[in-house]
Amino acid sequence: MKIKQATRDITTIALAAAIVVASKFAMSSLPNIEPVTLLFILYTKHLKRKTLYVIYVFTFIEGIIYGFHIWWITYLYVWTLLYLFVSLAKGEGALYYASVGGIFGLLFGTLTSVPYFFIGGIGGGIAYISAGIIFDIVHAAGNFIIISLLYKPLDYALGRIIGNSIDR
Amino acid sequence: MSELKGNKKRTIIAISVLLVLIAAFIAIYFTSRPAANPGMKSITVSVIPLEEDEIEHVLTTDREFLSEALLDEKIIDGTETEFGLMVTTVDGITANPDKQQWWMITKDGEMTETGVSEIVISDKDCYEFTLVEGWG
Repeated sequence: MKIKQATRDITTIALAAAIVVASKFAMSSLPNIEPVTLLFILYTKHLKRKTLYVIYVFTFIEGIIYGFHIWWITYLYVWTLLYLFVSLAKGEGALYYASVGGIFGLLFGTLTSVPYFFIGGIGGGIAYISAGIIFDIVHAAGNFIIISLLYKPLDYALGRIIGNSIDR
Repeated sequence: MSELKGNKKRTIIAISVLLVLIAAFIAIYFTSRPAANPGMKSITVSVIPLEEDEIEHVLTTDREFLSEALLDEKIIDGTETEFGLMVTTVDGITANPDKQQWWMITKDGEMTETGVSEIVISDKDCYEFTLVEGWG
């Protein structure tokens, strides 16, 4: 019985990660507009701590596809921070998560700037953040719109699909 | 009932934080943009390919932005995006995205804070275009 549950969990994690990778790739022609934030918010809500496995499988696959460069190191913690925030904060609803996604998108450049402070000093880090401000604003707007539109239907769908089938 | 009230409060806080941050980011974006320098300027542009020797261009221009000056001289070429010109070719050398190649723009060896379309040039500026392999 336990093996059956483990198989179900592994399959769910693999499918969840595959959906993130595929949907991100499908939207890659739109700069800084991505469905990853929405999906990780939904996974955190439905898969609970199993989301961490999805995050690291996704990050590993991204590294294989695009190469293990500096940005990859930042992926190891930025999505975990989103998971921690969504897990610990008690808000609910499309508008709440759209705002959280917007804030996350806006701060994405700042959060991923950490390695650049080590490489280029304070000047290098600040240059990295200020060069990306316009991309962060687009990221925030994209997250807000995508989550506002898709949170409710996907939340409902995931609730029906996952239900109590996964050991959370 | 109190849970519903609490959630409404959290949503309002989240929206407020988002709006304040957007306003702050837009303000930083516009205040950190350098002012234009009118008049003639002499600038040096070094092109550093992966294997070939470095090429140096010294040009005189009355243009305000680096992209305009370099497009006039046909030193660079690229694709117009909503964020300005994305440089793909420098001195006839095109970055190969399949090999994760891209043109890194530096000024006196320091990464520039904006894209080529937003770099305001001043007299005696020195810029380097280095072909880099690997994203990030």
